[in-house]
Amino acid sequence: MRGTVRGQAASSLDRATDRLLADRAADGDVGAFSVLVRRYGPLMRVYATRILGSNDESDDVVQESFIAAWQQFGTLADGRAVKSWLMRIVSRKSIDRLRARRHYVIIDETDAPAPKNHEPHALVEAESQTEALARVLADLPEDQRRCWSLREIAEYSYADIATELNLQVSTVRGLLARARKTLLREMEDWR
Amino acid sequence: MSALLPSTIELDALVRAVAGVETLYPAGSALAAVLGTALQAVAPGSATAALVLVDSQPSGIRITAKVGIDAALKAVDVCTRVHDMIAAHLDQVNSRPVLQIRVIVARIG
Amino acid sequence: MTDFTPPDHRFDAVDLGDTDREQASLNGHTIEQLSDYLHCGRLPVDASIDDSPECAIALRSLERLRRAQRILLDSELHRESLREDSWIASILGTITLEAHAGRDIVLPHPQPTARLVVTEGALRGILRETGDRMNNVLVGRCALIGDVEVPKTPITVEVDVTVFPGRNIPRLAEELRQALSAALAQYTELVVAAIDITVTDLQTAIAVSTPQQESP
Repeated sequence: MRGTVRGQAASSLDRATDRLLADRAADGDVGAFSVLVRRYGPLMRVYATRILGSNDESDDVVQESFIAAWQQFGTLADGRAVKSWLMRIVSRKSIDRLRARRHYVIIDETDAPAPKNHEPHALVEAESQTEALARVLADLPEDQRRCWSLREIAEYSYADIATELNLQVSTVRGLLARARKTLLREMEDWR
Repeated sequence: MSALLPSTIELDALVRAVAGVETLYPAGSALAAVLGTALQAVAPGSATAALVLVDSQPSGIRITAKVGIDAALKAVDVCTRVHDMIAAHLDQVNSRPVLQIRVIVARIG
Repeated sequence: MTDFTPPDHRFDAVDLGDTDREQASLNGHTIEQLSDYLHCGRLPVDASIDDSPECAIALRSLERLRRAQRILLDSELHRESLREDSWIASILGTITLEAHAGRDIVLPHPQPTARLVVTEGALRGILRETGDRMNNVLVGRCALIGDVEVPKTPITVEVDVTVFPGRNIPRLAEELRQALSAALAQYTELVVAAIDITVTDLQTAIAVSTPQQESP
């Protein structure tokens, strides 16, 4: 009897709104929380991978983010904002990881963009548009890629990006403009 | 002072046997649970930490049991039964003053 | 789109830092402005953009970029969703339930050394389940307003619900109210002054027990 009730509730929970799930998770409902994990986990992992440049650490970062979210649900004022709230948490943790890495990385290793038009095109002959875009994104200078990902994946406003990365809004717009131009040029080149 | 404290292993079994108790949870913090077991004669080979908490103070003892109960029953009935079973058991095995017997329902159903 | 825009015309993104040239070539606009225009669905309508062939070329390029990004994100998400779900299990395993116990709701007992309580978390859990057990209803936020730790203090129960189609809503709310009232009497000795039910969402998704219907 009990199993049936839980089963019914479970399938409805999959279709529940973010707000309902957040409210229940704040109350300690593990079922509701796991729906949120399945719903936004993949997006958070894609985002973390973009920021960190690899898969290995992104798993850890997303796990840490969900654990922090579980403990801090009480601080979420509006359950409808749970998606951007989760993206904010994973963004902070990704950037923290990046900073921690810096201590061990030699100075000029990753910040300079790879020279684009000198890439041996033989290697990328059969590259699909999606692969080309992924490559160009990965080659962007870190600052630009971070801003771009916050805007495009996490859907942050310019002001929120500025707050998140501790930059001036004008700097953010400048970084986005550069990234946009690089992407436009590269995608036109690919055509 | 060699007055033996009530065995938490026995208390665990006792509480679990009460009608309406479905789950027994660790009652105290991890640290308290460790201190509690250090004072008990834990059965050799026993892998589980004690769940019912026996807190010994100079003036007496406090017992805490944290349970999950059957949703079909009244909570006050199950809690009263748990309390009364513990009290009866203490009457038999314990000579120190009982300061408090606490029963916490952490989950219903 | 204007008639005289060649379909395959390449868009040359202007060099960095040269806003004047950029604006000169885009009828007074920057790429950022065109990007924002696209983002807002080209509303409100701006003729200086819509009627400019240079802007049209730039917009098309921006649109291609947008689509490419969408495809890339979808393929990445798809790849993620195929991965093992064991990491979810490990997250949930790390979580403790203790953080959500809340206040103690006291139950009476004749002996003064007895302290019998139901945690707020336990009560909210069973109230949620009571609501979920009813068809067409999902319980969201569930709060106990008032001093639950002091016996005989009247408290108010506030419940937010999502309603699925198929039932008369006021009757559904009344049914829920009675079910919650019964649960409160069964598991506590609280004096319940009121049970406030708020319908916060009307879901169009079909509830479990009703037959499939065509979506509008």
